[in-house]
Amino acid sequence: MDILSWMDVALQKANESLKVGEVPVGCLFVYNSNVIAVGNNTVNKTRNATRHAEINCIDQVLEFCKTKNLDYKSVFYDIDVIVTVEPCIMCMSALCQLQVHNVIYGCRNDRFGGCISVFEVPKLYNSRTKIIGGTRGNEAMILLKEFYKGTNPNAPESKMKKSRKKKET
Amino acid sequence: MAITSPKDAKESKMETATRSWIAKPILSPEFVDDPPLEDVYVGLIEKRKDISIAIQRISSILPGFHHLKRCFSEKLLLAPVNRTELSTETEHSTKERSLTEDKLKTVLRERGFDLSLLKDDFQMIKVPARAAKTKAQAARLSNIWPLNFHPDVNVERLIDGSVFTECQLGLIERYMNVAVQAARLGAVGNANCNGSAVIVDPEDGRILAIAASKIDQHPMWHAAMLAVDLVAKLRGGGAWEFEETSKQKDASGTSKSIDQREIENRLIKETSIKRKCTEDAPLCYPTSLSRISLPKEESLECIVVRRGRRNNGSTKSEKIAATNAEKCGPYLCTGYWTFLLREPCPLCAMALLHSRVLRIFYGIPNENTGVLGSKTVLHAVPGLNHRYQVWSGVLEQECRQALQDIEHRNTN
Ligand SMILES: [Zn+2]
Ligand SMILES: [Zn+2]
Repeated sequence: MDILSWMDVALQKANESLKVGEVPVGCLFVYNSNVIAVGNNTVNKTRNATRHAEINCIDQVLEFCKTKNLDYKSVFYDIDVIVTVEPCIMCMSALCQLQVHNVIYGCRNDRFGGCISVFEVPKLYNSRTKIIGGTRGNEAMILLKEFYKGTNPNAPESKMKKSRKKKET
Repeated sequence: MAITSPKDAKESKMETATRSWIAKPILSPEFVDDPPLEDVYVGLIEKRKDISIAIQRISSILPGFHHLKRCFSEKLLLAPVNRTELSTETEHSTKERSLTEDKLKTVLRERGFDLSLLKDDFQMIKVPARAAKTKAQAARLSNIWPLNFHPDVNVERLIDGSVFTECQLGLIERYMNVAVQAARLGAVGNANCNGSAVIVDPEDGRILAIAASKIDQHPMWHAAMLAVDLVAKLRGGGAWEFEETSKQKDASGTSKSIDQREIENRLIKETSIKRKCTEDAPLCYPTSLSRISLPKEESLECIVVRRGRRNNGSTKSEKIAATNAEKCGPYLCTGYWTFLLREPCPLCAMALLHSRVLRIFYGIPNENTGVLGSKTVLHAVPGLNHRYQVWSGVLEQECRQALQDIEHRNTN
C-alpha cells in the first residue's frame, strides 16, 4: 500500500473518533509494510487526557512485540507513523524517544503541534526521525473543523482560559 | 523568600532559617530578560513652552511609544529608525529600508506637523522597544528613558515569592518530600527523564496519585504519565494495567481491556466515583510506594483564600478549577498541583498540560530535555491553550541527592 491509501485508513479512523465525540485524529503504525497498530483518540473513554491516537498505537506495538517476542526498540526503529494531524508535543516526544523511522502527517496542529507548529520537539532529541507533513491535509482539517464547530461537552470552559490568560506566566 | 505582609514577617524569619530551598518561579523570558533597545529619532524642542503642544501634535500624527513618556528633557520621540512603513517602497536592502532623517521630515511636514517647534537637526538615540513587564525591569529601563509602567500585582507576587505564605511553603515541602521518597523507592528512568510525580488536590490537600518512573517496564512509563493515568483510574478510567503480579502479561493496556472498562464506567454513578476517590486515593505505582507515610491532609489553598482580595488571580482561577474538576470531564487534573523530583521532559510536561494541572513544582532541572526552564519554557510558548504555573528548586538538595542515588543504583 502507498502512503495515500494508508492515510485513507487513518482518516477513516479519525472519522470514527468524530462520531463518538473524541477529537478526530487517526493513526497507523506501519512495520515492514504491515499495519501493526491502528488508533484514534480515546481521551473521553479513558478519562485520561494523554490517550492520543499515537500513544494508543504505541501500546499496541508493545503488545505486538510481546506476543511475537520481538525487541520493541528495533521494531520502533523501522516504524512509519501515518497520522492525520501533526503529532502534539507529547506524542512527538514519545515518537522521538522511540526513534521511529518516519512520521507522515496530514494537517498542521496549531494548538499543540510538536513538529513545527508550536514547538520543535525533534531538535531536543537530535532525532533521526524524518517528518513529512501535508499528506491529505485538507481532509484531516475538515474533520477537525467539524469537531471544533460542534460542542465538545467535555471541553473546559472558555471563561477559565480567559481568567488565566494573563495571570499565569 | 520575601514576605510582603508585615504580620507574617516574624513567622517567616523563624521558618526560613530552617528551610534550605527557595521556590523559584519559572517565568516566560519576557519577564526575565529586559526588552531590547531600538534606535529612534528625537527632535529637540525649540521653546520649552511648546512642549505640550508638540507632544499633542506628534501623538496624533505618529502614534506609538505608549510604554514611554513621549518627551523627556526637551527631547521629543518622533519615530523608530526602522519603522519601515514610513520609508519609501522602492528601497530594498535592509539598510536602505530604515527611515532617513530627511524622509521623516517630509512625512512630518506632509502630515501637518510644524517643524519649527523643533530644532533643525534630529538626534538618534536608543530607547526600550517594548514595555517593561516587571518592577525590576522598569527600574533598569527608566534609567534609559522614563516609562509609562503599571506593575502587575500577580506577577510581582510570583517574583518576590509572596504568592505563597510560610504555611503553604511548609506544605509544599511535605508533598515534595513524598516525591523524594517515591523516587528513592521505585524510580527507574533514563538521562532524558527520571524521578517521581505526586498529584495533589489543593482544595483539601489530598494526594491522588504517587508514581515513580518505570521505563524498564514500559517506555512510556515516565512518572508524570503514570500519575495522570492513576488519577484517571481513580475516576473509573485509565488505560494501563498496573497489577504488578501480572505485569508480564498485562504491562501495556490493550484495547480490549479499555472496552471492558468502558462498559463498567457507564454503570458508575457520580456519587460512587467520589466515594471511590476518597477511599482509594492515593493510587500508587509501583505499588511499593504505598509504604510511604503520607503528610496530614491540609488545604493548600487556605491562606490564598484568606488573603483573597480584588485582583487575586490565583484564588479565582483555583475556584473555577475546583468546580471544573467536580464535573469529572476528561481533563481530570484540572486545578491540581503536581510535585516532580525533576524537571519534566516534553512527554511529561505536555501530559500535565493536556491534563490541565494548575501548578507544577520540581526539585532540580533536567539539562538534557527539560522543557520547563532548561531547554525552553513550554508554558510560555505562544499558541498553547492552557498554561500552568511552574516553580523549581523545591527541596533542591534532597532531590539532587535522590537522583544521584537512583542513577547510581540503576547503573549497578
Ligand atoms: Zn498527541
Ligand atoms: Zn518524561
